[in-house]
Amino acid sequence: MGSDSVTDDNDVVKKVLSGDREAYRVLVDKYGSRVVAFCRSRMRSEEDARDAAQDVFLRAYSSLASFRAGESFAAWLFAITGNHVRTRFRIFQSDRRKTEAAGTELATAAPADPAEDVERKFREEGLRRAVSTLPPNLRWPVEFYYFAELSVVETARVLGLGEEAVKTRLFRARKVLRHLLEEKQPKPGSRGNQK
Amino acid sequence: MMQCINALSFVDAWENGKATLDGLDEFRAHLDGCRECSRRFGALLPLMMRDIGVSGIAAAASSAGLADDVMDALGKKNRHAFAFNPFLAAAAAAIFIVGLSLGIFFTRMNSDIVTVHFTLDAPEASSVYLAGDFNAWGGEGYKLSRASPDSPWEISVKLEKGKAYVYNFVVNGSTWITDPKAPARIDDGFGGSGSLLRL
Repeated sequence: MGSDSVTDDNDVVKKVLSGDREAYRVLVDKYGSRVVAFCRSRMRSEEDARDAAQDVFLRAYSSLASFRAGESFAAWLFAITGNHVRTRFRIFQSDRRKTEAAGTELATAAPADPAEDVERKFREEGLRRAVSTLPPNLRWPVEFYYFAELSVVETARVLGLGEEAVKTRLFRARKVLRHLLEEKQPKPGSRGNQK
Repeated sequence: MMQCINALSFVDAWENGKATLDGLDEFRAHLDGCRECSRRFGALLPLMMRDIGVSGIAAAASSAGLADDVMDALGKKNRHAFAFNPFLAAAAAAIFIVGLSLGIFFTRMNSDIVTVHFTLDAPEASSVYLAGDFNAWGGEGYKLSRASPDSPWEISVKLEKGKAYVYNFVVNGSTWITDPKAPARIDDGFGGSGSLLRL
């Protein structure tokens, strides 16, 4: 996320703070998918993630006066997002709904989506599950960097870490994730998938 | 055309932070034609794309209609909370937050609202805030007070019955602690724990 992006976001925030509420839509449009993707990494149902994303943007709007001009809006927004999804209660709530939602989601998605899209969803679900098994010190950097698409600098700022620490954790996380995801696949010549 | 052995090399390079865009294109083409490599490495693709600067997971996430919903909610919020302006000076904003809370309380007087009294013994603390999922983990408007330096910090909060709440105390503005008197604690996902209250 370059300095142009920071400047643009700052301009939009200024507009909103000066009373142009509709300008806030620009920020929701710009960061909406990333906030949903981040929330989904914890919520696991699209419905929960979308609800959470809406809460995040409302919360951010109410707190906009605390945003410091010149800072990265993305880092500020995802600090709020991280705090919002940190409650296990929400995750428990999501898990309860997941049992119903997951089946419904795939069952309803499959006929409507192209095969490629369904395959992508399965891949992403596998990735989310693998990420959810990471220890917190690896999981949060992965979610901020890969799901929210924050830069290393922004990830470091949100987590209160140095940039090198973030890079090291991402490096370790890649190794663990690769191991986890490959481990789930049948070994060459194995009959593991046969029932 | 990339072979399986080259695909494996690409994954090794990615793992070590050395993947390239050209390599990713060839790798994706290989996965399209190789079922085994696709099964083995396919789930890593969104991470690889992100590392190379191509939006992966976020690009696939659906936020259609989100902006409309947010703007609608903001419109309703402003209509219901007349004179509510989140961008006033901090002191005024704090007053409005209190006012808004009271507004919510009065509109729900007939529903299942209970007053929960939180206390914390922290004689050395200079400030204590209550932060939880009921205030989006922001302590504003939830500052605890105490009658004297030897008294416990305390605050009363109106909460809905039939729900579970997770909260913690924020001491001196930066130290998050679980409530020693909380009925239960749960993992907060940050490597710490949250105080759990079921009403």
